[in-house]
Amino acid sequence: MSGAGPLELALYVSSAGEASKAEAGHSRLYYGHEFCERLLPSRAELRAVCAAASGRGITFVTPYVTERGLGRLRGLLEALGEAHPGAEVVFNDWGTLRLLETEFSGLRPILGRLLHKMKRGPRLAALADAFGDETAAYFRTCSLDVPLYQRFLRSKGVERVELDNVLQGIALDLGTSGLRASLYTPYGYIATTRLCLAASCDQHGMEDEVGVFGCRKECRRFTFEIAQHGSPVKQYRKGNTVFFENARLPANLAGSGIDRIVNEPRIPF
Amino acid sequence: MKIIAPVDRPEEAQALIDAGADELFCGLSSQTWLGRYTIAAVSRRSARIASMASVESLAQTVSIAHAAAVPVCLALNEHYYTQVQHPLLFEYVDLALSAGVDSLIVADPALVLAIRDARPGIDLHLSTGTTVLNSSAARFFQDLGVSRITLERQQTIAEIGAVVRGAPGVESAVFILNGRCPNVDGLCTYDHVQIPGEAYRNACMLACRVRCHVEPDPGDDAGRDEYASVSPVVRQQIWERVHMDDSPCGVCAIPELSRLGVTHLKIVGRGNPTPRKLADVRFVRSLLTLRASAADADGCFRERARLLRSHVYRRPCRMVSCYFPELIARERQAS
Repeated sequence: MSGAGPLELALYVSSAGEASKAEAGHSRLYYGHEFCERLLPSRAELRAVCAAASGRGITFVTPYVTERGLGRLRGLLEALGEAHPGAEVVFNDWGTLRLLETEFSGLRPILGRLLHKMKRGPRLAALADAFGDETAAYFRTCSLDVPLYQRFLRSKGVERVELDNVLQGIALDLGTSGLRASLYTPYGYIATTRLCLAASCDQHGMEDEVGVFGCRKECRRFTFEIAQHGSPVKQYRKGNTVFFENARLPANLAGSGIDRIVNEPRIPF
Repeated sequence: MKIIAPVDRPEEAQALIDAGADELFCGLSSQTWLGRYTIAAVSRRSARIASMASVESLAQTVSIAHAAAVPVCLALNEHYYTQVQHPLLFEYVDLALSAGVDSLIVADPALVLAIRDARPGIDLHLSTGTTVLNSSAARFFQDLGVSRITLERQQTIAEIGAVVRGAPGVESAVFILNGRCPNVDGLCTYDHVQIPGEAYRNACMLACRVRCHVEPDPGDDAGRDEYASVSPVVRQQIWERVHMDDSPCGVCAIPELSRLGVTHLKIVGRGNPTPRKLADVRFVRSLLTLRASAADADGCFRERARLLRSHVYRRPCRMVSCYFPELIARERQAS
């Protein structure tokens, strides 16, 4: 048992306008992009959200990144450090953690939901329990319950980890590690790709041109719904990422070290 | 560049080495593990044909390989293992070490730390399941003692170059044939179950191979355009059909990868039939030999590689089944 503290509410926003309209109950704002480096905000947009936070905490979410993306991130982290010293940074790439450790020690690293690998395919909601207690227990946790790993993360300055509200339930034991967890709801990510099916999806004749190519941010315009045999819920492909929806919070939040809820008013894309 | 090839049975080992494999990799089946964790595999493959059947088979394979100075690497590349699994996991590791394996392919950072702590000195290769897309991430794992990094499939040649250049001193492996996952391997949390049978009826197809129904975004008129409702569906159907079965291939990039300093080319294929494994190794070996013996321009090499591929596999080159489609795109633009 982890003995988490009082529940904090955070709001995932996509612009300074949304940040300024956040309801009073949200003491923290999440901003940035977790899934595509092309969708990272500009420095000016990041500064504007920090300015609109009005005393709320800022958590800057970041995606997995190529060398180029890491370079862009460096500039954004500089801006964040100036605009909001001590802000949280959710890293979803081990290279970003190294960057934070070596160049931005004033920012607070948080392990993102892409890096702990807890299974999220919706059909697991039915499958997990069909194969015995030990199999089900496996799918309700991840390697964040390994004390050696917990100590390693703490040694890197990580005090928080981010979780999706998986359909099979969560039974993560953060023990006495000092790590705390946030829970994203209602949208959880399942899988992400760099071979984006949304890129040029409105262009006939380019159906087989799937690769790491340029795009016109078609992801901003289209949402694809995915039907899967065995899945109890709808899945959504937004841009390069597939999401599921689950608004029902687990009963044992504190038992899994969860002391923050991150509300996503829309698919976080 | 050296060729890393999959092996599932001792009977395959010598033939793969004779065909040109420089290194072998495999899984090891564990009935104890399967009995306790069922669909939560120990190495990303639940199917028994995709792993050595026993530690004796593994030892025999290692013996054959070592007689030819070929190392054998064991895949222990599940994306994560929990603390309660570690005792059984280390029994498994010790069995593999007793069979003589030279290195482990690992994906879980917690396992990297645990092996480094409990079994120091074991050579660790990072699986593509960890997702290294930049040199900072490569150096992060280099600092943890990893000697080789299997680079993420979904990278351009230029992006691979940036990682390799930025992390000198660590070996780099690039996938060259088969198994071009639709998602970033290490960032895909679909269950990786593919077992036929009544009890597994919802899991007989890899979860990533799903149909896509397109729904226009109600907030945007452009989403109602007829093109938007057709193209993504067609693209998804093409993708489902070819991404696993159409022999994804990246051999055209051999000249570029060689110049970048990539050290290993990896052939996906645990569980493939032996003739297919042999054909794959011979194909890549013949192209490496061609590259070493002729100073052809890259374009000439690509032309020969495509002819050979067409001859061996009876399949045309297609952008959707190409590991480095930017090469085809560049040629289309040039023409």
